[in-house]
Amino acid sequence: MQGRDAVIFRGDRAGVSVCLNPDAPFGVVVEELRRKLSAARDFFAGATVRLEAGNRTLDAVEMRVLHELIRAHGLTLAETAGEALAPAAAPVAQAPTSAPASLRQALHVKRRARASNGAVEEAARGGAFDLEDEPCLLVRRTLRSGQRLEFDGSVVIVGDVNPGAVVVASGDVIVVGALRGVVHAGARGNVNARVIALRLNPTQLRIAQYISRPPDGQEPHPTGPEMALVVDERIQIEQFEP
Amino acid sequence: MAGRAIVITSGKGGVGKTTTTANLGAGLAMLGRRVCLVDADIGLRNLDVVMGLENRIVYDLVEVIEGHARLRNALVKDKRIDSLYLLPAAQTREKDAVSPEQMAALTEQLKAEFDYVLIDSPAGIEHGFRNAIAGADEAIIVCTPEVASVRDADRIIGLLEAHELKNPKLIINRIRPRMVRKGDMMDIDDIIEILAIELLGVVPDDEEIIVATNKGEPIVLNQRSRSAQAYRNIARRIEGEQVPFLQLEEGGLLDRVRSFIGIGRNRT
Repeated sequence: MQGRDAVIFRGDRAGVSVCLNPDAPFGVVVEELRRKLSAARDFFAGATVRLEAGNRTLDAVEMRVLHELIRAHGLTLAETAGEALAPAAAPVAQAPTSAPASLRQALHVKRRARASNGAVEEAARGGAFDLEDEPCLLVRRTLRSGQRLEFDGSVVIVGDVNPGAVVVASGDVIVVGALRGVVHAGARGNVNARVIALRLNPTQLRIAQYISRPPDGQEPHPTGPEMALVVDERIQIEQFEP
Repeated sequence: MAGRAIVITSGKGGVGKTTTTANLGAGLAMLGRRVCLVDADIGLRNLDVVMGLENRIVYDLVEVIEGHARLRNALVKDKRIDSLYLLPAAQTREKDAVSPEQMAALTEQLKAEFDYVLIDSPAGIEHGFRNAIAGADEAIIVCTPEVASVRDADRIIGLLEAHELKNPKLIINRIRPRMVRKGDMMDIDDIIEILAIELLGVVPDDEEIIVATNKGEPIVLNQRSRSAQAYRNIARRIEGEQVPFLQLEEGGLLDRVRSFIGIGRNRT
């Protein structure tokens, strides 16, 4: 199509905005957004973006399509004003999820109804109970170097996570085995998310926006199951007692 | 009965894939099997050099696939061991000169004529690697006791699983028992804990391999050397024989053997 692009990413101090050209047909917008998100996948990973539709009006179905597309690429969508309907939670899993789509949608809508009008982050903040509402993925194998697991919810891995493997979840990450790779829990901003492992030995550990790594020169030798969580704006590791 | 096509791969470069391919091939041929070695490292061929056969190459794998030469005419017969043949790679071409489908078809042809087709994979995970695994039914992963090598091996195992090549076997190459004892080198248990695949054999670091490789003589022909013995044992294990692991250092033998035996069981 001639003239301006159908979708532009614009960055400012407040973050990244996804700006839609109001003159572009919706189908073109979707295609171009998908293309640009895929091309910039790693660059935007985990970022929060705002959707600016300009003077275009989007109905509920169109909003849902855009929301799902953005979430499917691992981005968090901050609320746009005047949104008609809550989008369904779309898991980005590489394996089947546990709860059926309609149930997930119902739970998500219920949670949003509980929260006041506000950003998705505010709804996610609030405590352990929120995570229990989210879907949970069970994986019964070891993740090898170079394999990446992303899920919108919590993840339980019965097996190891080898160095070079990456696990990204919006909820908790629980590894019934040795966690030696990179893990990012609370990837959509939930600082209450936790990482639990029988052997917690990651190359890098992230919860929400906090990143930590084992101290240089020291080989961590965990003696038993451990849990990582955010306390006072720092990631802390404690012995895990259920 | 069709032969077995085994790819020898690693991810990491320089860990001993080519040396292993040459020596396992020679070892199996010495046991009386008909063996064909295939050099899948197009552009950086080494298998011919290590076997001492580079002067005898007339046609190569790419020419066969492109139809400029017959497979029969491209196979180089080994100068020492009967029933051992080499299909060399092209040195003047690049990895994309052949496709995985073409490699698979070529391997099928070879399987009809040989008991074993051993495919020497290039380093990496790209086109060359995909070519090498295309025709294989089994895989042997070679790694050294070093963190970087084990990391790459783990990646390769994941990729092999994705390509339906399950149950690869592991050869740990260039181990130095003295360094392991001092704690300066990863020990076998550490490696198996991460890779979690069946251990096929352990080959000690051996200066004589450097000499032999430069001379173009597979070391298995050398009676005395420890690494030769390790390779010969591995060849016998590939044939299905239960061969105890080599005693790699004096003392502590029983501990080593006990831990090795424990490793092979119940690994998924």
